[in-house]
Amino acid sequence: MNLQQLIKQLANDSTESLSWFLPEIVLCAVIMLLLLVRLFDGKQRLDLWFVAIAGSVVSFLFSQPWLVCGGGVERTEIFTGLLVIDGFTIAVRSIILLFLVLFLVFTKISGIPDSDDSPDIYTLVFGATLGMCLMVSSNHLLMIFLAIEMASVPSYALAGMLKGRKRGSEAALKYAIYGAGAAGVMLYGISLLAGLTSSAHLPTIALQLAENLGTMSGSEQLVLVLSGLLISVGLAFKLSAVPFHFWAPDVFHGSCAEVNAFLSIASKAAALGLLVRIGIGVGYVPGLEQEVAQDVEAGPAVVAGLLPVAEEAIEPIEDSVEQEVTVNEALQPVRDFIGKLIALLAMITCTFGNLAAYSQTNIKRLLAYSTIAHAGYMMMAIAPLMSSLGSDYGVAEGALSGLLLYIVVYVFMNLGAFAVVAFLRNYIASEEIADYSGMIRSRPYIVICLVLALFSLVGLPPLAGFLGKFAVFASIADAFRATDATYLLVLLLVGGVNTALSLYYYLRVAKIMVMEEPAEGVDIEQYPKAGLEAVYLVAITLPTALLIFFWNPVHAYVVDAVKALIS
Amino acid sequence: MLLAESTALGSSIGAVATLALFVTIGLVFLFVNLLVGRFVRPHNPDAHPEKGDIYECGEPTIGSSFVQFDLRFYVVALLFIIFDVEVAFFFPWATVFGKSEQLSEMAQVEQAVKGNELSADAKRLYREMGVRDTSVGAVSDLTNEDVYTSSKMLARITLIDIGVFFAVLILGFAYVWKRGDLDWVKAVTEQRRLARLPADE
Amino acid sequence: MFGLEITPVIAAITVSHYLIVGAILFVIGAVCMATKRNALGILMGIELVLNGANINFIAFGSPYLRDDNLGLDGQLISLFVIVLAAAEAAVALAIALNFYNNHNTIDIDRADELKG
Repeated sequence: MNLQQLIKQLANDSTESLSWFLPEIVLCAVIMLLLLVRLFDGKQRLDLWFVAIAGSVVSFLFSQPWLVCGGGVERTEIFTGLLVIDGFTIAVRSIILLFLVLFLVFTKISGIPDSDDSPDIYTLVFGATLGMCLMVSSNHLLMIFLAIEMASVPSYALAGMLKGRKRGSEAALKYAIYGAGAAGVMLYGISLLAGLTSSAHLPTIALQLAENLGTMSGSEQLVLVLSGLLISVGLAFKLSAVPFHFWAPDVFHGSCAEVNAFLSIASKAAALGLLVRIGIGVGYVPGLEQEVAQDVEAGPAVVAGLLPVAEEAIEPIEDSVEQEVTVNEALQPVRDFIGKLIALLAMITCTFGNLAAYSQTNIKRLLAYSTIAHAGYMMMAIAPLMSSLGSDYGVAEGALSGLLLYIVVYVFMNLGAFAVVAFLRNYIASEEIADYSGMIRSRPYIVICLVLALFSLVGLPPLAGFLGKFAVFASIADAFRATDATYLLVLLLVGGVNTALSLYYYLRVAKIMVMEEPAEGVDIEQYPKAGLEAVYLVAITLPTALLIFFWNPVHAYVVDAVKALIS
Repeated sequence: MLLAESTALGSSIGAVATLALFVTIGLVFLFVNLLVGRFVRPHNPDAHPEKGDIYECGEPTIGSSFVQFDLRFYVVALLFIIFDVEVAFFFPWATVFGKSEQLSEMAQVEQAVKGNELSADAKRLYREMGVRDTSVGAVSDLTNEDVYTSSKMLARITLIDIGVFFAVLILGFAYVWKRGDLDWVKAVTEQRRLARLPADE
Repeated sequence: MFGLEITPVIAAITVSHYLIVGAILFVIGAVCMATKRNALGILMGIELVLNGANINFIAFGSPYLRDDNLGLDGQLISLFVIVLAAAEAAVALAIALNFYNNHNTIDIDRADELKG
């Protein structure tokens, strides 16, 4: 490989990669446009919301979610292997961008960013979304860290976006300090992993591990495990998994409901996507034959593109073709470690979130703990994925499609709940559950929407939440039948018990709103009539309520999305 | 050289000895000068009490030094950090851009390739750019023309890249400027306005 | 060039020496994060942790220390980390300043309004 070839390759690779990278480029362009408009429009005659919503819609369209339909997308590494595009990436990225569109409409209706702040806030939101899009497509240790930071740093500022609010500033400070600490610890773990395998490209790391795992000395294995634990600190923080969940209730309580919705949905979806990326990236080498055929021509991923790591990396790949089974079998310990670690974290997270939600009196704190619990449910889907990745692709695909379905459902039901909280805050200036008593008499449509969202969060049939939970639990059961691993059975039981546990505190909110008398001195007539809020809430709640009828196309879509990912 | 001729052990001792010699001379030089100064200068602090001040010349100090800085310093410092550190991205770019320009010039005067083989200077440039294997490789008929076009292409691509990066940076700077965050005087009036607000109500 | 005539004084330094420095920085930073009550002190601890990781990356990436190295990736990652650390520090400092304006302290233990 000499310079001439490398440069030609780099130029070709960049142009090809850009076509897959359009949603992110649009996000960047919108950020700059927002700043530029503010720069030349001194009197702020133009409402920047229109720029933002147009940008988000264009970005969503460029993410091309329909590409996935019917057979999935080939796994393609872009930008010399820094990022990877496949059905899963496209699906999760589309979900995040769709959420961005819904979120921007939500902020317009609830009126949180005033015209003075809106360029700053929309810039932060778009920056964080850009980081989240990179999170779900990252294929390189540098991109993992970069994407997490790009998603986190604007979120810190968003948490404290309401100026002069004591609680907001406290929430932002806690979030920033803990987040920066977790990122630092994670970076140290990343450095150990990169040093141990002499690579930062995830598939190359997997190959190195497959080759060296058997001959590693005890201390090297110790360092490997340590690096895995340190990396999981950063991921657990993003997922708000126990024991790194403590920021979530405080931040959710201190910042406004709109920001909560953003942190609780987009950030979680991206973190789960990243978790899947790392799990599959390190624990499995996908499509070995195709990779060799392409890579001898193209050279595998090298940052900077100028290092002839290509020659070094090709040999192990060629070896592995002859013994394809052994490479992915040799990685079984890695997958077991990741799977069991995540299963353990998921069980603790889920149980803790549900138990701690019982004593909450503030609706935002309650939803924060509910978010923690749901992060636990969604992490549960990773365990069957990792346990059956090398042996039973059908089960692994089932687990992954279950996770995707859960994320789709979660977007709508959680956004519905937070939207209700925000609209009610605009009416009654309170977020205490006690102040919601008897709300059904004054604002029936809001209460019905919230109750539907809460029931869906519990997972009661026939609402959408039930479908998501069912898909995840079914995949765990399948994996247990396929592998006979006891921890999967324990996981299934814990998940079931938790669903029953969560019933009580969601129903309590519903009961207070529907059954109890309104508080003294609250005049029913003083509330303004329903307007755009009602339309928005109905639009958000309808998918939650009616998904059962459209179950087949959605399910087919998520199955298509994960098809080409592993096999 | 003496070091090169001696054995491995000898050279290490020699290197340590050289280091130690430099350190010792440096320390001795420092302290001798301080000592000379101590003996030469007059010493009567009672006659001139201002000698005890932290800064002997300039403004007389007022109050404790543990006072709060003006908030505006922090804002400027924060902005400085951001724009200062972004410059770090220019270093790898400058290396690659400079080397590829150098390479293209070398190829233009037909010095990069000699007899189907990279010249020694061109090989050095390749290595400095990060290409470890500088052999011609698969290309058998390597000409100066090839090297010229490819190095020019690399230079052009990197120039566009850094142009985009710098444009974004400048845009951020312009935004900050427009918002008045760099505006020292406006910040003062803003603070006065804020300070007066509660009293007015 | 540089690597060809390695005198034993230089050759004696291996990757593990750098790793020890990195590990010491990491531990100091982690202890700093855990014990400091001042938000700025915690931020300094975070910087130490990031720099510890950076030393690791540089050591793993150096072709003079190990044949089987991370290559330019190591230097590139550390460059990005330096910039990100500065950006993160700037945002965190701005948030700390905002907290100070509201609470007249940057003691993280006083941030106790949100509980439950």
